[in-house]
Amino acid sequence: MAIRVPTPPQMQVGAVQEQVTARAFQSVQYRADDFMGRQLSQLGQGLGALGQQIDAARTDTALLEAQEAINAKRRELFDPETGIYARQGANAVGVTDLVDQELTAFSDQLLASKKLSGSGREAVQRMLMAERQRAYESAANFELEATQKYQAQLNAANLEAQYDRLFRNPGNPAERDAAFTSIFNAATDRADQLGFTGNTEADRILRDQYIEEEVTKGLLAVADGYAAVDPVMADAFLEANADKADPQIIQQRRDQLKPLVVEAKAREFTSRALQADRSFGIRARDNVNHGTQIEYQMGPLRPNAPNKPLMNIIGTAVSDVLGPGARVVVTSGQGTGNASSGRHLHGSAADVKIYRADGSVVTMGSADMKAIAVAAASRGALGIGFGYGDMGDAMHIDMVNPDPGKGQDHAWGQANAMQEELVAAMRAGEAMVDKTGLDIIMDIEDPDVRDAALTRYRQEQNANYTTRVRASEEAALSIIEQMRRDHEAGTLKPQADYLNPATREVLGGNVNSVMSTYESIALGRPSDPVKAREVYAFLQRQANSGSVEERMAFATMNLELASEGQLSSEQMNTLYAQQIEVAASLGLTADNKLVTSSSTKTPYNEFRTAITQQMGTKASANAEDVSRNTAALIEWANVYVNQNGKEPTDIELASQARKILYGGDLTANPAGARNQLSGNLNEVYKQIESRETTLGDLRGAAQRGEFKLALPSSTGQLVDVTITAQMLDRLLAKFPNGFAGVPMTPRLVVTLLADMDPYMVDQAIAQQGGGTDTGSQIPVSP
Amino acid sequence: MLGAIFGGLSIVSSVIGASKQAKAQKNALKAQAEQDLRNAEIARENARDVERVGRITINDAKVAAARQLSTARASFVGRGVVINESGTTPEAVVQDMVRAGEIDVIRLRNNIEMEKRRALDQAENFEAQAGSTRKSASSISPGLAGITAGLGAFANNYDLLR
Repeated sequence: MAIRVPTPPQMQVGAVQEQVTARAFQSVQYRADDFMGRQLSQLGQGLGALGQQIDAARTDTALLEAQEAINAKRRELFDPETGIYARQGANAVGVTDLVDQELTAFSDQLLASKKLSGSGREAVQRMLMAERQRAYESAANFELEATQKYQAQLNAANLEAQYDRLFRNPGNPAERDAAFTSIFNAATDRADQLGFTGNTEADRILRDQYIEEEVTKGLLAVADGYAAVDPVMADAFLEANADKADPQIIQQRRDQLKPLVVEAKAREFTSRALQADRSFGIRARDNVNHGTQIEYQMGPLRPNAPNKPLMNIIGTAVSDVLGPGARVVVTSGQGTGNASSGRHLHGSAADVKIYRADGSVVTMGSADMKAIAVAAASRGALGIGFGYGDMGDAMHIDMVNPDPGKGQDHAWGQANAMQEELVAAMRAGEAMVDKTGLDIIMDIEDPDVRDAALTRYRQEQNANYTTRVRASEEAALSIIEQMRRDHEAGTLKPQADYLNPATREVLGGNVNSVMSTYESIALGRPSDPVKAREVYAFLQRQANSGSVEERMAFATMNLELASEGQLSSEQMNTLYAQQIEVAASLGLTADNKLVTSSSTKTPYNEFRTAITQQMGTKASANAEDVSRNTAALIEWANVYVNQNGKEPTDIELASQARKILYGGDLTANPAGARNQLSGNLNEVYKQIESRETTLGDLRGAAQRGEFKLALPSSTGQLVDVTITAQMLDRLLAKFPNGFAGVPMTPRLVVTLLADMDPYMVDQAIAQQGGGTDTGSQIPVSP
Repeated sequence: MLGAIFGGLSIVSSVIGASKQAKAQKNALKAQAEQDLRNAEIARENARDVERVGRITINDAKVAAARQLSTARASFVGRGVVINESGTTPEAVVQDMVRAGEIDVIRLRNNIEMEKRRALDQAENFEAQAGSTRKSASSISPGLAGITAGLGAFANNYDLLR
């Protein structure tokens, strides 16, 4: 750098200038001597990068290995057969925690076994964490689902247990309340589980519906529990609780129960009806076959026997409780005016001691005595006492209305403790006293129950009837055997000895059968006693067996011996002539003979004769009635022949006989079933109905409109019902061989029709009914 | 494990390298400062040179001016011009010439002074720069640099060492 020194202008003298030269500055750029340092630094960076590379590779390997291991662990934990998925129900509870614990331990173990950098460990940890999270979620979902299913199962099991509890304890209020509370709680829980929270209106409806459904099942369980014992109670329970459940389901169950209810009610009504039949007229009838033996051991104060109605009541009540064969000893009867209470004054009171069939006495206050007291009250007794004064084991029974003015009551002594029960029985008995079984059946409001009760009632009657007939037939055979034996031995006694009042009672409708059979044996094979014995033995064998076929064969043989249909007019006349002779030799009166009213022996005449004879022999309380009725029947028959140009059928004849008997002047006292007249008609009908023929013949009669039977209508009246050819065709369609070889009777035909279609006969009765006949309720099959 | 070893080596290398680098940097700065100080001394010497040469130049100027004036007077006088009468042209010319010489000296002095001051300013600049560079050098600590680098390397390789 030059130093600038000012130079004077136009210097001419001493012009040399001193030149100043400035010193130059140093300009060295010093550089740091850091080569080694930089190299070392770079080396450090390189080493670090290398280490990271190595670690990354190792981490990748570790991740792959961990993934593989965790996959294996997952497979192990979630194995469908051995893992948590195999757990169900209570075993599934807690699987989430289990999986979490297993995987945590597994992860710790896995990490411990790997030598990894921090980030590598973190990567593996993150991977394990993610895997654990997924497994945890899977396990939690499974556990939730399984737990819900398990809870649902528990809930359902609890509900089932409560239904069972209700079914087993329908009548226990404490059990019922507890069970319904439990059902309500369980149903509420279940509704919660199903998500029916009830927060919205729609949701609330669903929730209520669900709970109502379960409660309905509970109610049905109670009803089923009741139904197992008493369907009527079950139905009443459902009716009373219909508003607490789904009405449709309740109605469905009621509909299902209906047949059982109807059956139970029908059974109850039938029982009452049969009891009513047994009681009917008990206070007015002289003789009731109650099976109790009555003995009289009256003292001097009340030496006279009590009246028949009272003894009927006592005998029947004793028989009801102790069965047949019991014995009643009347220790105090009708008084002479000194009896303290006055109850014994008119023969309507008795003090009795009662003995069982085995001879033991019914002791005072025993269960049997109380039961007899109730039975007597329900049969019409109005005053009952035992366990007072010096009565001992005797009990007082009377038909006297108590006089409160004298401090009298319906029961006294120890019987006073049963006052309420006895009065109730008396009222019930009073309500039934003037009703027949059919009255009770027809009073039933529910038509279904009424129909079922009627059918059952008929079946019971039929069974009773069959039992009676069987007993009657056995008694008849016994008497016939005795008569035959006496006849052969030449020691035959007057008929009255064999057919006395006692045997007539047992024989019932078989009196005529006895005679005709005996006469057939005696007269049909008079010269051949061996043959007669064989016939008899055959009859007895058949009677003792009792299959339908054999009994029909028995009837066939019976008819064969007696029927005019097998014989010519000459043979019949001969037979009757012989009969009359035999009758005379037996000492029979004219009324008891098989007399003819016509010299012409046609089947019609013979049958008409049989009927008139029946009317004579059985309705014989009044000789004038007999002759008048017989004459009226014969006259009617003659008019019928003149008007129609043909003879009336058996049915028409019998029907007319019944009309004459009930519609004429003859007084039936008392009216109704089981009186003498109905007994007579029973015999008449039995004879008519058991007349043997073939189904073909009956169909011919039906086509001509001549097949008629008197059957009881729904009002209890007997109605002449025409059995049509169409009805028989249905029978033939069902039994195409037409019962070939089987003797057929009208009664059997009706039975078969009713068996095939009970309503067909009822319908025929209903359609053809409207008859004005009253009185008899003869049990007629079906 | 191998990664951790490499990580450790990396840190050690980084520490030593950084320390060495700092030390070299410090030495370079120190040398630079010394150079600046030398340049400052040079600048002062330059200032002194300017002052000395300036004085010579001023003197030269004065001599030259006196010489010119003397020449003029002699001319005037030679031509018979009165020069020392006031209010006359010769006298005005002489006076102008005197005045012009003085102005030149004054200007020279100003210029010299300014040049000297510039050189001194340069010296001060160099001194200031030297001070600054020295300060920079003294602020560099190789140990601290090593620690810093070590920490950085440790941070970079921390993952490997964990």
